[in-house]
Amino acid sequence: MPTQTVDVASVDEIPEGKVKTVTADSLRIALCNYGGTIYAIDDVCTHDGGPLGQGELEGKEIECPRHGARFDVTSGQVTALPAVRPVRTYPVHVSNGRIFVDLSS
Amino acid sequence: MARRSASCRFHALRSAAQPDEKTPGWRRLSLAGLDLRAPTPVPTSFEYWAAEDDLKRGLVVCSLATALGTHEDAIREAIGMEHHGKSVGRYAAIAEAAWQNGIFVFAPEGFEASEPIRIDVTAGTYPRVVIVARAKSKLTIAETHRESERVSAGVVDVMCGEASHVHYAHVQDCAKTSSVFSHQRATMARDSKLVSLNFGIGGRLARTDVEVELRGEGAESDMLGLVFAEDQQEFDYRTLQGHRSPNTRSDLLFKAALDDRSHSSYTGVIIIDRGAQRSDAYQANRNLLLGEGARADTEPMLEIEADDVRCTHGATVGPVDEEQLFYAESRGLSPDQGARLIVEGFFQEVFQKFGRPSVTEPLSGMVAPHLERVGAS
Amino acid sequence: MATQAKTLVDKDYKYGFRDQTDSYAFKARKGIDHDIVEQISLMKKEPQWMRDFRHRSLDIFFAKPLPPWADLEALGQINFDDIYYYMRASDIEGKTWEEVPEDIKRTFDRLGIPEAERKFLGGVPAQYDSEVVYHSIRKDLEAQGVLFSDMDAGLREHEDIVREHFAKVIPPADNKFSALNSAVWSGGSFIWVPPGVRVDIPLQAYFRINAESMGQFERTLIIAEPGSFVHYIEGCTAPTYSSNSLHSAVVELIAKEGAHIRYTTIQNWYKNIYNLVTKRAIAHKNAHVEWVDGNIGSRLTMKYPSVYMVGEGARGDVLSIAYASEGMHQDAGSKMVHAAPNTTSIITSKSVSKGGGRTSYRGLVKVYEGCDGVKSNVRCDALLMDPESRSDTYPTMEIDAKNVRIEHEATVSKVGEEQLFYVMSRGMTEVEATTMIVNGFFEPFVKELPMEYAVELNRLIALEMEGSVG
Repeated sequence: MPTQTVDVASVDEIPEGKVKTVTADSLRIALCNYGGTIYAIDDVCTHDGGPLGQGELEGKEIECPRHGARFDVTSGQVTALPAVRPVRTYPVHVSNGRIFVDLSS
Repeated sequence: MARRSASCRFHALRSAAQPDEKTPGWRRLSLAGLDLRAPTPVPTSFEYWAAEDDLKRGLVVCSLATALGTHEDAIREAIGMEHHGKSVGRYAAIAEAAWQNGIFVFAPEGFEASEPIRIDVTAGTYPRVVIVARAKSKLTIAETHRESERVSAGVVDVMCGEASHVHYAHVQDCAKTSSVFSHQRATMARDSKLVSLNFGIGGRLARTDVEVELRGEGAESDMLGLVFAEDQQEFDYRTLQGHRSPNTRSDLLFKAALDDRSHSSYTGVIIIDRGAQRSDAYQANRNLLLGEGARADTEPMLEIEADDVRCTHGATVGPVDEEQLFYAESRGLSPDQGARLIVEGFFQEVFQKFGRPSVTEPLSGMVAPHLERVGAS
Repeated sequence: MATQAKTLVDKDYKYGFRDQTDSYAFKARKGIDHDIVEQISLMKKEPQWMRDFRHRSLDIFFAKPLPPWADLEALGQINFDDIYYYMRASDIEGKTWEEVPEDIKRTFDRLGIPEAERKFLGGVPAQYDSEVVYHSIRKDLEAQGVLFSDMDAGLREHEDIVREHFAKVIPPADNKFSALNSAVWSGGSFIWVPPGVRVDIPLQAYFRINAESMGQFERTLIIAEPGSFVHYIEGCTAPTYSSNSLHSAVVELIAKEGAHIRYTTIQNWYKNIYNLVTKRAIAHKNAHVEWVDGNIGSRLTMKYPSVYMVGEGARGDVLSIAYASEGMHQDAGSKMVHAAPNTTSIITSKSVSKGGGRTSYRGLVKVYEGCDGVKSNVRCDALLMDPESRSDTYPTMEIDAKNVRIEHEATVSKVGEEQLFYVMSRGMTEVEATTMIVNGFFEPFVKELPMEYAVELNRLIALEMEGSVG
C-alpha cells in the first residue's frame, strides 16, 4: 500500500517536552517530542472531540487541558479517564531535520 | 413599518455565524458538507385544498396576505404568543422576520369540518402557517412539505379555542439534500384537544421544535412523532409539553426507525407549573436501530413544580427485538420479511393513535419503498 | 465569590528549596493559595511529585469556571475566600459542644445517639472509641494481605501503588471541585486488595478517623486486584455538623479483571454544607462496581457516582436515594459509560422532596461505537410530598452501537390519596401512614444497608415525616 507521507515541520520547531499542532491533508495532527523522539497523534481528544495539542506533555503522556484525559503518545493508549478510546497515532520519520508523517493508514 | 423592522432583524440575524459541531446543542450532529447559512427569501409555493361545502359554511383557508385584510386580530393573537424554540432558535427568528407567503386556516365558533384540509408546500424558504380554531370547532389539517431548497425554515402557529378539537399532521418529505428547520407552536384554551403528528422522512438535516402550551384548564394534547431515517440523515427533534393550568393532560409518543448511518436526537421537556395541579404528563421515545452505524440520542427532561401530578417518561434504544423476530420466523416468514413486519408494526401504533386514515394511509405508502431495504441483520 | 487566578508566587516552592522540618509552624487561615498548599504538603512530608501535583491542581482550580448547568443560585453563594481549607485538630481547640446547633442536638436525642458519638458528629474533636475496633480488624486484614489505612498513610507507606493509580480515574482537570480536592486533599481511605482475596466484613470509614481538616476534602482510592472483593461504607445517617461549609471529596475506584467493589455512602450533612463530590469507578473485564448512595442532608449536594466499563462483561450499578426538605437541593445522578461490548448498567434512583426541597436527577448513559451486547436500565422515581416541593430529571442517552438494549423510565408523583387512605384505614395516623409509604418507597435502598444503618435511617424518616404533616 502506497504511503502518503507529508512533510509537516522542522525538528527545530519542537523542543523536547513540547507539542506542536500542524494540519496535513485536512487532518489536525499534534507532534510531540518525548525524550528527543517525535511522535504524531491526532489532535483530537477521544473524550470530547476537542483539540489535544493545547495540552501539556508529562513524560510520554499528553494531558487534555479540558478534563484531564491522558494518552501515551508513543502508542495512543489511554492512561487516564475520562477518555476511553485510544487516540490515533501516525508513523513518523525524520530526515534532514524535517519531520515526515505517514497518513496512509 | 412592522415589515421594515422585520427586514432589519432579518439582515442582522442572517449575518450571524452559522452553527457547527461546536455550537451548544449541535455537538452530536454530523454536519459535513452542509451550508447552513440562512437563505435569501424565496416565495413559498403552496397548494391547498378544503371541501367546497366547508368553505361555503364558514371555513376560511386562504393566503396570509389575504387574511391580514379580514382576520387581522385572529392572526395577531396567534403569532403574538410567547414561545421558546430552543433548538431551532435563530432560524425560527429569521423565518418570522422573512416570510413572504403564508397560509391561514380559520374555523369559526362551533364549526365542524367534514373533510381534512390539505396544505402542500412545494417550494420556498420560509413557509408560514397560522391555524385558528375557535371555540367548539373541529378540524383536521395535513401539512406536507416537499421543498428542495438548500435551507428552509418554517413556522406554524396553532390556536386551539375553548373545547375545540384539532388534528394536525406535519409531514416532512423534502429533498434529501435539504436542511429543514421547523418551529411549531400550539396554544391550548380550556377543554381543548389537540392531536398532532410529526412525520419525518426527508431532508439531510431536519431540526424541529414542537411546543404545546396547555394554558386552559382541562386541555389535552396528544403529541405523536414518527421518523424513518436512512443514509446519513439527521433528525433532531425537541418537544415541550407545557402544563400551565390544573387538570391538563399530555401524552407524547415519538418513534424513530434508523437505518444505515442515520441519527436521531430527541430532547423532550415536560414542565408542570406550580399551579398546574392534578395534571398528567407522559412521554415516550422509542428508537429502533436498523443499521450498523445508526445512532440515537435521547434526553427526556422533567421540571415539576406542582405535587399533585402524575408524570412518567421513558425511552428505549435497541435493534429489532429478537423474540419478535423469532416469533415471525416460526410463522413461516423469512428473517427479512419478519423484520419488515416488525418495523411496520412499529409505525402502525403511531398512525393508529392519530386516527384519520385518510391522512395516515398516504404516510404508510411513503414508508413502504424504504421498508424494502430493511433486513433482519 | 470570584476566585482570582494566581500563579506560583515563589519558584522556590516548586523546587522544594524550603526547609522540611518538624518545627514548621502552620497557621490556619481562610482562603486558598499556593502558600497554603505548599505547607499542607510539607507538613504531611509528601514526596515531590505529590507536591507538584497539588500546585498544578490549584492552578487548574483557579482557571476553571463553575459548571454552568448546575444550581448556580446555591453554588454562587459559596465565598471561596471565606473558607478554611485545612485545619489540624489543634487548630480546632476552643470549639465546644455549646456551638453545635440546637436542632441537631434534639435529633441526636430522638435518634438515641450514644454520648460519645454525639461529640464527634457535632464536629467537636474527641477521642473516638472505634479506634479499638479498628485495631482488631486491622490484624485480620494484615493476615490476608489487605492494605487499609487513611490516604496520607497510604501515600507514605505504599507510594508505588498509590503513584500508579492516583488521579488516573479522576484527573484534577475533570471539574472545578476535583481540581480543588486535588490541591488540598487530606484524609480519606486507601484500600488495596490483593488478587483473589475476598474481604468479608465491610470496611468502614470511621475505623480510621482522622480529625484533621474534619473530613472536608477527603481523597479515597480503592484498588481491587483481579478476582478480589471488598465492601466499603462511609458516612452515617445521623445529622453531621461541620463549621466548614464546603466539602469536596474525590473517590476513585479501580476494579481490575473479575474484581467486585461495593461502595456504600450515607450522608446527612447539616443544612449549611455544600457537599460537592466526584465519584468514579473504572471496571475492567468482568469486573463489577456497585455504588449504594444515600443523600439525606446538606444545603446542596452534587454527586454523580459513575462507572466507566472498559472491559468486556463489566457491570456497573447505582442504587441511590435522595431526600430534600426546606432549603435543600439534592442534585444527584449517575454516568454509565459503556466502552466495551456485553457490559451492563443498572441505575435505580429514588427521591423524596418535602417542604420546598428540591431533588434533581442528572444522568448519562453513553455507549461507544462497536459496543454490541450492551444492556442498560435506568429507573428514576420521585415523590413530591407537598405543593412547595420540586423535582427535576435530566437524563441523557448517547447510543452509538446498534445491538444494544437501552431503557429508561422516570416517574414523578405525590403520595396517592388512595394509598394513604388505605393505610390509614388500618388504624394509623397520617404521620405513621406517610412514614410507612416513604419507607416503602426507599425500601430497595434500605435493604442493601447493614442493620444499624437501616434502623437509624427508618427512625430518621419517621422524624422527618412528623414535620411534614399537618
